[in-house]
Amino acid sequence: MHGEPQVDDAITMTHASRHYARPDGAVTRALDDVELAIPRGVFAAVVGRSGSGKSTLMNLIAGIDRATAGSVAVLGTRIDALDEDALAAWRGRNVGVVFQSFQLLPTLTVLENVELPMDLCGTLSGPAARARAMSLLERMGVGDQADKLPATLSGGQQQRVAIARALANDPALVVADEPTGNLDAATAARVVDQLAALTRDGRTVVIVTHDPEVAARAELAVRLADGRLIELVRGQR
Amino acid sequence: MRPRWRKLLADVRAERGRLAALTLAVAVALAALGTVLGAWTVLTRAIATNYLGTRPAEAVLELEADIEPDTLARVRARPDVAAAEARAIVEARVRIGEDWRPLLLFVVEDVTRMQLATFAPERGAWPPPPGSVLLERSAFAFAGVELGDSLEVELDGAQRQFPIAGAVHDPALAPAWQERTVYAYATRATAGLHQGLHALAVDFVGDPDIRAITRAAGELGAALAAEGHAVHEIRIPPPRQHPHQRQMAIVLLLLLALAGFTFVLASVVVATSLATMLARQIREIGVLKTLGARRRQLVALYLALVVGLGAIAYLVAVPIAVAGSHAVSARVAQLLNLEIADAVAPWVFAVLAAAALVVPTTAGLVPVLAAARTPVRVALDSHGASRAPRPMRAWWPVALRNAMRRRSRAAFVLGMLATAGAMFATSLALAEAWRANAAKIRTARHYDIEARLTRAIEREPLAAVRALPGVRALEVWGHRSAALERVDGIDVVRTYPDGGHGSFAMMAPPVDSTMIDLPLLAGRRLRDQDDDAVVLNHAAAAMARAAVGGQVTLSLAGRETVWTVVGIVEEVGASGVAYVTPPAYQRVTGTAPAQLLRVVTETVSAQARADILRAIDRALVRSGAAVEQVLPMAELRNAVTEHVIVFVILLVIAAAILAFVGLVGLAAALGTAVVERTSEIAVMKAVGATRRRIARMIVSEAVALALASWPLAVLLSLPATAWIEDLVGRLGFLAPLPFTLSPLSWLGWLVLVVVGAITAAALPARRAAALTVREGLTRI
Repeated sequence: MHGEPQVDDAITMTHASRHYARPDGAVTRALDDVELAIPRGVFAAVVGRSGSGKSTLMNLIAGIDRATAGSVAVLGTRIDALDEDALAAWRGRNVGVVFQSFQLLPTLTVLENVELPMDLCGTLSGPAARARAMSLLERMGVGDQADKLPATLSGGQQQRVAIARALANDPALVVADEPTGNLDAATAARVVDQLAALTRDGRTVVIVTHDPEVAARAELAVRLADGRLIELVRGQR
Repeated sequence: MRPRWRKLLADVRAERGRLAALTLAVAVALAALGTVLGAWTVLTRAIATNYLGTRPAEAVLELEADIEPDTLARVRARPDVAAAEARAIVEARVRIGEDWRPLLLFVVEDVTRMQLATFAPERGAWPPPPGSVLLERSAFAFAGVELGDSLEVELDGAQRQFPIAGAVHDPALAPAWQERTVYAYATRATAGLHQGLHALAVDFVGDPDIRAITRAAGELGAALAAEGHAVHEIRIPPPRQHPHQRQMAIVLLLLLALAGFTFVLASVVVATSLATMLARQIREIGVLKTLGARRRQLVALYLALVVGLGAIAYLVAVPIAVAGSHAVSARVAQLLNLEIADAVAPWVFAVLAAAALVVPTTAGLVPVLAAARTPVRVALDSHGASRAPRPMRAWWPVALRNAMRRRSRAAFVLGMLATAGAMFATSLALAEAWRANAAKIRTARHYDIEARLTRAIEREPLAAVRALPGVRALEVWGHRSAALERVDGIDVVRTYPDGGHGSFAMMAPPVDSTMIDLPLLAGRRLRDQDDDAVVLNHAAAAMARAAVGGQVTLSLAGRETVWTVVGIVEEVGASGVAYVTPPAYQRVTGTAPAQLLRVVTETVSAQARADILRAIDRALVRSGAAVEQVLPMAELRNAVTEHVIVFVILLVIAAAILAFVGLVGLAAALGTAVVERTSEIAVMKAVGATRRRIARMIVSEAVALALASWPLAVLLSLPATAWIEDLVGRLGFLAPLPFTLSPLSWLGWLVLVVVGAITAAALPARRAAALTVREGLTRI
């Protein structure tokens, strides 16, 4: 899985590092010299202890953060070479992001939250956008909540809305940062099922987790410690 | 509607309280700006259409005798003369109730064929039937007469009755109530003057330049003299300039600057509040960017909010500005005797719209661009925590330490509150100084009644006045008009047709006079042996550009006299006066120094003084004295006080608006502080802080800022007060107002700013107190 980017790779990281300068002049190596390739269409898990660099890795993959050294190619695009606006437009169309704390906009209804990425990226608008948003919500089992505000939904429902939103622009890659962190075990299992099911459409799904059971379900487990890639394990799924 | 715009509308609903306050702040500041701009346009055009519409004569040549028709025809035929008319401006007296008041009678050949210094008929007969007069509209209330009443006039030494046939508007004259003079207009046939129409009003060809007019008037005067028509005085007021135009322009400019400053501050407050809102939404912005939002989309989204705010503020401000500018214009027009016919100029609305949309948007660009440029990860990781506070003194009170955590913001709020406080204190100090200055009229003059005579009083009438009951003391002064310039041997004065504005006189009080005590500004007072020494009042010194030790040439009836300036005194409420000793006066004028009586009465009752005034008048007339006018001192004081007090009131209103904007700014700054310290507040609550304690902390920070701003406001008010009192004094009285501070205004401001700060802190304090620990630590 190391080495030159392959055509079939969804993600290729070459000597990718993310260092932060601390106020005292010292440097925090959140991610250090990572060489990684994740093929298209797999369900991958990034695991490790707190502070191991999991979220930093996910941020680099989603284009939320930039590597301070090395390169990151996602779905064939060197995203470290894109400027901020180009990166936003690329991310909106190609990557769906699911956060641990859902990050639904509190003043928009559930339906409007799912419509939002289509509006921002100009992919669909009006009735077509609403129809697609509704269909995604129904697919996630929360169609009956469409006209409610996020705060009135349970955590599990909110996370399913967040997944529906992540799928709004039909992205080839979905990344999820601790998506089950705020959920009970039963709900968490259902959410992981739904994320894993996304690979059936040929999507690549990368999930950051410290839950061994979630990691065990992944086809590929990327283990990090102290910002370094220490193990890459193929799962049995 | 697109989801992003629905989000914006939802944000507006969530922030409606703050946005309403901001909109109101911008609207009020915009209304102030619109009021001054609107008043400016209305008054500028009113002066043009009113004053210039009368075609004021550029020069009036006072001849010794009646101007014959063929003389007038020859003058009109001169290539440098655009228009010329014969007329007379006669100082007479009119009976009002039991009193005789000054009357200025303007006499022309035919009121329907006037070309220069015209007036507009408003009511009654036009032209007036033979034997009747027209009255300036402002004189009716002052004289207490109605159309159809008769005026009892003392003219050319005889008493006559003139029916009032009509009312006219003459915007070249200050209102009658202000100058305490009745203005009337009559034809030559009605007035039947001994001297005929001896004043030649002229408009010259060419630019209205005062030097060119003076030169042309001098040449005309010389030509008339060569034909045997002696000219003894030429009056050339500042061309095309209303007597109060300069003062009005400068005061409006001052108000415009204040309103503009307030509006810019309001826009900065909008930017600060927007920064608060964006700080609270920074993680939402991060999410939007994660979902594909580009910078320009975010910038457009939040700037639309500011544009919308500006548009609503504009709609609120315009009717207020229109009403305000009409109210200000109407009051100023009343002071200047102008007729307001025009509405606010359309370009004012365009300027206000541009200001409402462009200025807050430009100010708002700073926080919006900063938020839009925030990297996604930084935005998503933001917990509202501020940067590490800068080091501060441990001995500062906790509230002040908290308030000063963000120095630049604290400095902005302090600056705004201090400026508002300084303006507030300055406005009230100016009002105090104005009153103190007006009081100088009373304190410097120790007489109650003044009688002006057209020729020196004889011994007999003087004895008659002295013998009247109630007369405690009496002084006899020399008094006659003088000129500072001459052209072709003729005196040139800068007096307006009302005879008051721009006038200049020589006075000769007894050297040991107890009737006046004018403060000495420079040099010394007059002494018995002074023969060619003159003491100028400050207005005269300014007109002659004279200093102590220098020489000044005064022309008296065409005879030049040279004087050494030995002193300059301050004389509030008077035109230019040159004081000389009685012997010197007699030497240069050839007449006894006895044209002015100043009387001290034994009573303080206004009614009793009025009785004595009438008795003096009767005694003088009975004994054959040529009485020009007998006036109570109190009237001079009232006229001065009423002149421009309206501007002081406007200044206080401007200060109140700035204070309001400052307090909205304080609320915005506190709101930002709450957002930035969300986590910190949550931690405080987690370790036991009650809602009440959190609210008290925010309120005490506001009070700390208010208290810290107070000494700055006081300090700032000192130079501001000195500057504005100097400016307004020079405009109104040709000398700085006495430097007057208003400690009561400082105390008043302290109470206002503390109460205002507590009010401004209410919303942020409630928001902070309502924050739950969970919200504070995991907030989106």
